[in-house]
Amino acid sequence: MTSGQSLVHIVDDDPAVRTALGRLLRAEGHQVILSASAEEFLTRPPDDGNACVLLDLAMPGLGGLAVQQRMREVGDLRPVTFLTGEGNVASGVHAMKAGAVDFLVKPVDGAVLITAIGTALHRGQEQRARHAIQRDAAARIASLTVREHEVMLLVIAGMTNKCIAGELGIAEKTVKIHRANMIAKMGADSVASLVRLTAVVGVAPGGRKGI
Amino acid sequence: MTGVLGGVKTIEPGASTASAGFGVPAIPSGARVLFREPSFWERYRYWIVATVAVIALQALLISSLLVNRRRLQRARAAAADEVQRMSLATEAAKLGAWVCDFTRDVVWANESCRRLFGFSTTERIDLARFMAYIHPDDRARATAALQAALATGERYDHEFRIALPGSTVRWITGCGRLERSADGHPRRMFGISQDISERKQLQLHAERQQNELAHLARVSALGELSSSIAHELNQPLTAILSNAQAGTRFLSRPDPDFAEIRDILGDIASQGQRAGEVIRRMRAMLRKDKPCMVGLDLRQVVDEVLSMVRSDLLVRSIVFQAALGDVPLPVHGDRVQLQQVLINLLLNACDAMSDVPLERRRLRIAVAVEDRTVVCAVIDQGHGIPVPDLERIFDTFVSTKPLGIGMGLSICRSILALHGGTLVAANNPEGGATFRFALPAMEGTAS
Repeated sequence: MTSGQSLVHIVDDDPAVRTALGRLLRAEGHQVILSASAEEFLTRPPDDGNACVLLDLAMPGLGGLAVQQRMREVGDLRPVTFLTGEGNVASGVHAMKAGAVDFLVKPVDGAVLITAIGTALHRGQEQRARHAIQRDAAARIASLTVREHEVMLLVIAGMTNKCIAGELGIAEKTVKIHRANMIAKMGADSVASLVRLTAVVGVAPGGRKGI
Repeated sequence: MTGVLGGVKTIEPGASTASAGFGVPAIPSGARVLFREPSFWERYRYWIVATVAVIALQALLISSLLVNRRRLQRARAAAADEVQRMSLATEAAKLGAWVCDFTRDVVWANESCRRLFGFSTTERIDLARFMAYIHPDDRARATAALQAALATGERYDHEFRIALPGSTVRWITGCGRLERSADGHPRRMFGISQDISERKQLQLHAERQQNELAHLARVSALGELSSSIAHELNQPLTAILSNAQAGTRFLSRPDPDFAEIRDILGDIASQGQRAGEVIRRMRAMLRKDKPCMVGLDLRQVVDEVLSMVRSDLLVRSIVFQAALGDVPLPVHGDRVQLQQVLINLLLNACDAMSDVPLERRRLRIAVAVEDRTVVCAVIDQGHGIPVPDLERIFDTFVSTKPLGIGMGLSICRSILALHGGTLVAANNPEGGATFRFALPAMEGTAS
């Protein structure tokens, strides 16, 4: 499914388990990096390509859930798959809510693990793509002037140029110029694509109640 | 002629002079001899004095003899009383009295003693016959104990079983004191034997019950640890499964890396052993064996217990630290029971920390050898023990835990007592409690 640059981080305090899981994933064509503790994993340099993390839930020191939280805090988007000794429902729910790809119970069947890792890597790729779009959109938005930004918020709120002019207290003609510049900077070919673009970054439409 | 004149007698010449006590020829003829006849007293004085003296002496002798006889009779009566009392006492207490004469190899035994061993009242007993009744399993030990007493001259004190023909086995305790002859050879041994079967039965019963109780507590502790044990099994199983599946995949490649596959198979084998070890340990805890006292290194016992509770500590977010050092801690004990004590103390410590903030959940195990005693302390940072409960917690059915039945610590204490050790609890000045147990250090081990 995924091959080449796919990297799997395996974090488990048990050396035998760590090595065995690593072998299985290597046999499947993945690159693996083994970490004996959460602390060791967190100090590793960021990965270049697509990567995912296979985390043991219960480890001395930082546990799996804590690692996941740390990753989210620093914006680390690598998908996390949990592996646990006991099928604890509460921690499973917690992990899934926090965005884990899967929650596997030891001893895990090879096929199940490989599928889960495949899913994680796939999601990772999607996420990386989405993140690229987001980054692009954010950069574009950042390049707008204050006025253009104001106009954009009102455009995606569905207002006509006339209304926008009224709202901002400027001439309709000026609105048209700002709007054209803004559309060009954002690289949108329609209001619909502009809406989609802003939604990706999480920009809320403005309006009378807004701004 | 002979005449008497005022008591003075005259002997005329020609008269017989026999009565005068001297021979006539001695007297010149014509001489007149005047003499007085001696009195009875004068004549027999010495006889009389001698007779009286003899009679007095005899009287003295006879009276002293009579006094002596009276005294002897009284002593004999007292002795008979004493014997009566003694035999009454020995009979009442079912004490078998015996005297073993080593010079003649004969054993005197009283009625109870003969009954105890099943001898008839008239049978002649020697040491060999005596020993023959001792249970075959105990005979060597009993002989050794007797020999030791003979060699050292110390009190002989030993418990053994006797196997009477056609009867049940009975427990006997025997103690004796040695008497030596002038040249230092053992001459006689005076001793008492007693049937202690009932006491022994009760003791064995109590031991069995104690054993069962300990077993029950072990099973319940294992129940608490079940998730931890499952985890301990899961780890090697996960490794085995993944290794095997990885191996299969490696083998199906066009150019399999055999070195890698050899590593995989080696790991599978060692992980299989690891899983087997978990099972073996668990089985040992579940078994209801009699305590088996052997020489142990307490560090190893601690290590094994830590591997059993490790994941439990992890799940409870407890950081543990075990400073076991490099010096062996030799003790004499039952591995499983000592493990049980440690598990109990560790689980108690975990429970005590279940409601303290995460950063305080620290558990420490410290060991030391102090003055021929091996000491092990389990130190937690939990809520501590209310002072009035410090001693009470070791009582049966006293628990400070909401769901506790109050058996754990009392069992721990009796296990340690069985090992000649102690268990005490104290609150730490910085919070939490310390349970410290001490065991006699085993001598003669290299350190």
